[in-house]
Amino acid sequence: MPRTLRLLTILPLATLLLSCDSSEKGRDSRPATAHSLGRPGGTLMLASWGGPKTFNPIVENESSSSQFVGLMFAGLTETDAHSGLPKPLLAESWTVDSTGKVYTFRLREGLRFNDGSPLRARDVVFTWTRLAFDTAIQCAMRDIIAVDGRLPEVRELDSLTVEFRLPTVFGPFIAAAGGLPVLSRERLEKKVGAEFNSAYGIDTPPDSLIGAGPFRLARYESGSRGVFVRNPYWFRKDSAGTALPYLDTVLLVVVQDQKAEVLKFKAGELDVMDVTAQDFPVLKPLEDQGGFGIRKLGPTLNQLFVCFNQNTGKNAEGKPFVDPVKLSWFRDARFRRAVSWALDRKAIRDIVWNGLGSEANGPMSPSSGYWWNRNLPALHRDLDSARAELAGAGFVQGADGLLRDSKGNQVKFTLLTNAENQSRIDIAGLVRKDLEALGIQVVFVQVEFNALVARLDGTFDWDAILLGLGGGGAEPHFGANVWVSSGRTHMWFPKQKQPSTTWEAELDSLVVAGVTTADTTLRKAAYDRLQEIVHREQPYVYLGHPEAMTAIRNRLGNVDPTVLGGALHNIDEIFVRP
Amino acid sequence: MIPMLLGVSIIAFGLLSLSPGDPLAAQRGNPQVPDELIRRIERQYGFDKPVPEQYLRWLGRVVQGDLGYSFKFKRPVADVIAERMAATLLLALFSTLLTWFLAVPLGVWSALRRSEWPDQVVSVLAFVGMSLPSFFLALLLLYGASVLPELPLIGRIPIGGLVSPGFDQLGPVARVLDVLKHLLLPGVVLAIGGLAGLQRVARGSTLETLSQPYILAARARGLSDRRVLWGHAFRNAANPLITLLGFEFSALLSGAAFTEIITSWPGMGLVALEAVRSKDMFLVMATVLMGSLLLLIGNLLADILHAWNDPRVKLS
Amino acid sequence: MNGTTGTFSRLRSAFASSPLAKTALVVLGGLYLAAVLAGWLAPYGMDDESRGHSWAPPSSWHWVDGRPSIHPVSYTFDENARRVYVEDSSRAVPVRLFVNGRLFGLDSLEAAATSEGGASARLYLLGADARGRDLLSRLLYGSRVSLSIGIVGVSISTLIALVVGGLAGFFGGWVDRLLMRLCEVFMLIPAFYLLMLLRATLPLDWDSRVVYLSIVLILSFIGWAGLARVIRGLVQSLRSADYIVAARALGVPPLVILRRHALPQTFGFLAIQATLSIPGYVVAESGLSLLGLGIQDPQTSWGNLLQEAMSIAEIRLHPWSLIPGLFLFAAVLSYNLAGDALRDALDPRSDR
Repeated sequence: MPRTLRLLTILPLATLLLSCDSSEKGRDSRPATAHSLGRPGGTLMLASWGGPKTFNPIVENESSSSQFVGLMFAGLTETDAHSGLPKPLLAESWTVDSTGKVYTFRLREGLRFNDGSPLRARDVVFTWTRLAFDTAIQCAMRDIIAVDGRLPEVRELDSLTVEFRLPTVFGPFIAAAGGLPVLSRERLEKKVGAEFNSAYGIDTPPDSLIGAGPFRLARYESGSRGVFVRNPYWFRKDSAGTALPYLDTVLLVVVQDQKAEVLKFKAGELDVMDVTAQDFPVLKPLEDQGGFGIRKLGPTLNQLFVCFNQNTGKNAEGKPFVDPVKLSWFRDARFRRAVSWALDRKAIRDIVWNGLGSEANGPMSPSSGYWWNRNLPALHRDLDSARAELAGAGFVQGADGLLRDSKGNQVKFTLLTNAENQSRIDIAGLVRKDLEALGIQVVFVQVEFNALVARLDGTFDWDAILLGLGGGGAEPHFGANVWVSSGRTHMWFPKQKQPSTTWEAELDSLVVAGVTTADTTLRKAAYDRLQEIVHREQPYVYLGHPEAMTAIRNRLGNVDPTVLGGALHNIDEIFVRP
Repeated sequence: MIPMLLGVSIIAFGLLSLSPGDPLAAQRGNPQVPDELIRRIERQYGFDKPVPEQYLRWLGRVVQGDLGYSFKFKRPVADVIAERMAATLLLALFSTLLTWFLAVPLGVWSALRRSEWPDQVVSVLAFVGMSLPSFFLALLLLYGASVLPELPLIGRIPIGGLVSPGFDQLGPVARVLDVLKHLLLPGVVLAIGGLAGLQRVARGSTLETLSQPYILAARARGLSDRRVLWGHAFRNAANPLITLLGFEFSALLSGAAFTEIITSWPGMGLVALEAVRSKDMFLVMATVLMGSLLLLIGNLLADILHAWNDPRVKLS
Repeated sequence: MNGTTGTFSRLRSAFASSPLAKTALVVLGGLYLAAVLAGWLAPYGMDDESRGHSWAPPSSWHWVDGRPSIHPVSYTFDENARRVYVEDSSRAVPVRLFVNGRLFGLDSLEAAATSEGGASARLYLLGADARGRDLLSRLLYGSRVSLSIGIVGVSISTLIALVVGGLAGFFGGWVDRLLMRLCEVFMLIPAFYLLMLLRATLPLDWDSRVVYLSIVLILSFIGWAGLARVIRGLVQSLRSADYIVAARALGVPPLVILRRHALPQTFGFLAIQATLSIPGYVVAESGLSLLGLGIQDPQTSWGNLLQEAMSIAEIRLHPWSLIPGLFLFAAVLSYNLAGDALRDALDPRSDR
């Protein structure tokens, strides 16, 4: 599965960085001309968290496998590591017709799989029609691009041209579909159907893993490491005509967790590693001694926020999920905005992230590239604005310092977060203190992540929650489930039959607007408007983004880490200096 | 034995199903995962069934030797458990040996110098060791190892894990040494905790033996203290210790958990914590069952050793 | 079991003869007194933060005008993103006794002023945590939880054991068999796993008092089974004692006999057993809180404070977060020494 499909998993922050980290170790590449000439040879050592579950690139849907898969397989397009927009990979170019429903991809000439067999349009058609579209095969891609269960028609125009006819306009089609790895018809023709789900498991003999990625698997030592060697048939060359990739070998070393990854990196067993704001002060002084440099890439894509429960539903016994008194506060945008004004986002950056991060004011990170709405005003701590919003909504702070609503109820609620992570606890502590200044009493509670999700997705009995969404990737439509009022991860009020407010209805229509045109400018306008509404209504009160940082050994050349693409999007150009 | 384990599994399963959440949290929170897929997984693992039925289904599989699948580790539970169990047993063995090598001589020594300064110093030190909570001792040692990397000995002690990063490239001898090095920190922590109890027993039984008529007689015959001690007293004094072995081994099972967690020793304690936290049902059940089984075996071992060692049993 | 008077005199002589045990009692007394007086001894409140003093190291003392004083401090990040604290030596704030209704501290008015560079004065005898809360104050408040939880926990688990063991021993038959099997099953689950399982069932999302109580309950649940078996043995042997047989013959209801006559006979034994097991509870609470499964912020306990020291990387930057462990150690050592003296005094076979 392509990297862009894995965004917005709710995970504890540490795991979040994990998923973001490992998904970014994909296989994206840039035009070879952008970088200096390298030298063939050498080995690159990388970490894989937890090891792969499968090598099957169609059914694979979790990040630890995608690293392995990403090195071996390639799709028609890839995501540009700087802009986040799709760009050519196996396809040399593509066109969309005026209806926005017919996409024509033209393959590069002379493409070959890693066993030397030619890669032609019929392989693309085979991959789509016989594998991805077969309902017996678990393929998340199919669910994403299916509109009302209808799938595109795919056909071969000539040996280098493939045409996709969509049942309806689907704006992010290239971002969604371009990354689907092209597999060999010749090799897999006899393994279609449900049988394909278990094909390409981790015990597959490496030389039968046929893909078109820059590397191929030489061997996999289960639970320990994968050894990849260069694919001699990879199509790309540098400006001097030297065949890429430069590297002879890539080692993916399985580590259990971040702690283990740091130890291995320090011991010189890894060449590239993402660095957290917590680890930076410890690792930075070791740069010279360890022969590496830590590069700061900008704010991460992760979203960290406080969300209030706006669910008006009742449980099976007829009891409201949320106390009606509290619900009336939570559903009042003025209350949510007051909370947002009261938060000291700078303190979160300085205290929790050692000063390495930035404040957030909306759902997208400045690193999101093209789709980020750069016109949203910043949210600094401003208690006067906060008090004004509260006064407008009828809240009164009494002589005892406590805030009461217009009916005299004291404002007090529970803030949940997951217990696995010390920095979450510190952030929640800061939020609690910030709101104390408004007279709001926050009871902070940590629960296990699974228990947290059980409430978000099952019992719905929570007041406020401090949580992170992450994964990374640029295409905004893939996070749409968060905005659509009928969505399961529309956290503040999931699975609504009808949008409960006009602004939620507008969000719904913007999500539709963002997907029903193939015109990128129109799509951008819809998502800009969406960000504006979220900024105004504050269903999520965004807190900040820690800095994305990557430690890279000095002996490596051409490493061009970006927040969107990670450090290895141009892995075929990376070389080892003499 | 079987009914006991059944009881344990019922309690564990019951408690687990009382707790909120299921192992599918990651999927549920992911907008990418369609509802249909989640329902399919639920059906596949029977999470949509009532608790008693879920239990029976689980039991049925376990009886057939299938411990289930770990959602967290994405591997069969049996594989995870086998690996972790080996690590825990290794650690328990190592620290038991270490405890014995330290405690028995210390106990005998303080018995011989009863009420003199060595006795008092040893007993105070034993108390200190006993009173240092294992996790605090582990933290202290970790801190020591992290601030003193320049020192020749302490600086070389690896902090955390089972093997060094480059383990795969090592030769067989170097591999053993590498594991031993990694055992040192958690092993020492556990040994210090268990030292006090064993030292006191060793001291007590040495004292008792030394007051026996035959020892007095031996001394009267003019045998040297050393001969008396090692030839007679020590052997007899060691007897009650041997019966302790089984108990100590089983005590290490739960005692080792904190040490494992702090020193990242990939054993049963660490995996139990991770499994409960992510509500990885089948893995939790397997760790609890294995833990109980080991405890049972430890107790059994203690009984056998006791019977084997009991003079009355010998005489008959 | 000895008579009560004999027991007390043996106790007194045991403690009198052992300087270590006496010291242990004094230390314990001091710790409990400090816990009771925490609100007065602590220079700051439990959740009294100062964001400009994130991870502030222990304050350095200066003699200014013949009085112990401290300088205001502020921090900047160096290129390693480590906090570097600098003192503003142009100002000194004296540390005063009996100030702000507390034993000692900085006068809040004198400390309120901020220097040009943003430095302000806070008294940190043992350093600060991430949010600039005073470690000493939190230690003192935390000792309330850490020191009380053992006593409360032991009491509850003894109570459960009394009921279960008493019923089993007194009634015998199937009641006995059922209860004893139950005990055995519980004893078969390694304590740590049982702790984890129980903790998972209690989500702890209530206010701090309920959290405290549920942790006590969890801990009590671990220790009761073994004790219940012992009590059952004692009661069983008492059941055939002459006076119980006589009471039964007189038609006194069984539960009354159990409550009035049989169980009280086990109290002496229970008292020792309880004292000896308190440190286990103290350590267990700390362990739970250390793993983030126990007492939760802003409430605190020694184990909760030690949580800050869990990241090896970070202990190096602020080693003072290990200090709560020393308090834990002191309390457990004192309990063990005192318990040992107690055992010696009450166990006639002990050798000393």
